[in-house]
Amino acid sequence: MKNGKFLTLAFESSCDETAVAVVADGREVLSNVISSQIEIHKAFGGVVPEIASRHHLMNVNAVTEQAIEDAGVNWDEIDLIGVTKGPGLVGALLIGVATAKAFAFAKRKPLVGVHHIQGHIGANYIAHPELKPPFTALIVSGGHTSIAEVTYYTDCKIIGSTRDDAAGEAYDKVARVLGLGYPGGPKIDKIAKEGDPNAIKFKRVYLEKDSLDFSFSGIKTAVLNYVNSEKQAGREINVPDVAASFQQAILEVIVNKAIFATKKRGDEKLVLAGGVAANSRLRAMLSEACQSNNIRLYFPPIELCTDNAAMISSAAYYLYKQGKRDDLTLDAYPSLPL
Amino acid sequence: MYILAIETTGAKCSVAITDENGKITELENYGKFAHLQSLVPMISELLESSELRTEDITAIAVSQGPGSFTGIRIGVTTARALAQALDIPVVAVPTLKSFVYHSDEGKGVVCPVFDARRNQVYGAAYIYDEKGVAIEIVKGGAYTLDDYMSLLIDAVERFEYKTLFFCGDGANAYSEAIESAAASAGLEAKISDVIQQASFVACLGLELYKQGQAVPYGLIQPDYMRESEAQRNLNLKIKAESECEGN
Repeated sequence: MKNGKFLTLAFESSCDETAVAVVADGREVLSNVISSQIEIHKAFGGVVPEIASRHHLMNVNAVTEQAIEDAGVNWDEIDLIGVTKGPGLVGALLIGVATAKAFAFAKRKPLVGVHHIQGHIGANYIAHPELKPPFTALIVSGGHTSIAEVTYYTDCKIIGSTRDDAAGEAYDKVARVLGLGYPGGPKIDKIAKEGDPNAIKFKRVYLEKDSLDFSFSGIKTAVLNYVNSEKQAGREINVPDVAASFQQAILEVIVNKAIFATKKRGDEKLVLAGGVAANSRLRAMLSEACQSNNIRLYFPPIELCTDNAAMISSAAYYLYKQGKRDDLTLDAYPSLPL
Repeated sequence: MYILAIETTGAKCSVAITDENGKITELENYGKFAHLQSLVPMISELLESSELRTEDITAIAVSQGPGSFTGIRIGVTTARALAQALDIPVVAVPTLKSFVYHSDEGKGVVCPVFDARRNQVYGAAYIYDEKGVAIEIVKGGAYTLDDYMSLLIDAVERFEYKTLFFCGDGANAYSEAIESAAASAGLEAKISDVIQQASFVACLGLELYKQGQAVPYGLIQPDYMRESEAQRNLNLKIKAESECEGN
């Protein structure tokens, strides 16, 4: 405790960011340190799990030190240790889990494992002090595309999810085909601004009527086929147009399903979370759709969209307040259901 | 003083505590790969049964590899974080060399070999000088079994030893090949099923600690002895490209 506030320190290492943060009372960020490996993995065109694990190991201690220092706190004042327990790359996750357990043991602090997605939702509690459940959440990231109903801080249920690729994976693959490099999300978002979203009509995949699930493998193949047939016909590819049209096809489906789910549940609030929440086109399209449907839209600032530990601290805090504890046998769960 | 030793690089997760005189208590958990789950609770249990508190630990000795990449990371990460939290130093213990403390069959050539898959072993070999100090005669590394055996036979020829003591999970996995290679050089191979163990790490850790080799946690690194597959492929690609450019 510091100045009457409950302090949570949390670790996040599920993919390629090593992150540690200290958050007061679940909402106030005292420090949020992120060591990104993005430059290292660029050479491989994507995250290499073994390399990510090796770098997490070498980074996590200094990041922890920095988080304590930035927060201006000491270990005696930390009340709780949180950590992402899954889902994610198992070798990457275990660095955070092993570190969190060692600190919880040595410093005699309670420990709570957090679901990564619950963390992404938690980013919104930090950004919007007035936000309270219930609401509908749309989670879009490199590894996830899901719609969830959030009935309480700690109660979250997936009501729709991708059946094949996550949206972020489709972005990465299409970016590779278009020669835009890695990571695909920001590259496509940027170049799409110069293109016409209606130039090429890629099929929108809605699956069965009223389904809240997604499928993005088809659009990926459609883009690939388009690019190949244009090349064969000797026509030059208009990269901005392809990027804009691809993005439009993906985002239209995501936005329509998220609005449909929110209305169907009678929620007044839609909360956007996950790395792809940083996508400017998605934010613009959702804002417009929410406005015309009388839904209040929440999304975190860019720095809380990508993987970070402040969001894990927030989620850990609410789990702890609900009486949730993990003991020192806590494991890493690469495919953890919500 | 007390040194806490951690061994997670093999199939068995084990922890040990040694005092300055080398009096060791050990706890092990055999048979299942659940090192991440087991390690910290085992440390807690060992301290409790030894009537010690975390504050009583002077240093941590950790088995740094080679071995299972995941296992190495669990041990080294835990050691680094514990040392950071408790503000104590760490001794990095080379896993292959820790086997010099498994010498219940008398002084001979100690040949630890781990199954490294991809038709390779992680191997080394040690003999003892007249003071009983272990000397490395085959440098620890990733080898094909044939390369390892010929390095070993060449090195042994320079000494009067006729018996080689093989240990580690590679000893059993490749026992036939090891025995026939040794026999063809007129040597006897004794195969033991001893694998990595925290008490070995504690012994070598204590020795290294007394030599002043305990360092701050940030300097402790795993010794994988092998690049990741993606890195190897990338290196090959870069090499091939630079050769093309050279032509």
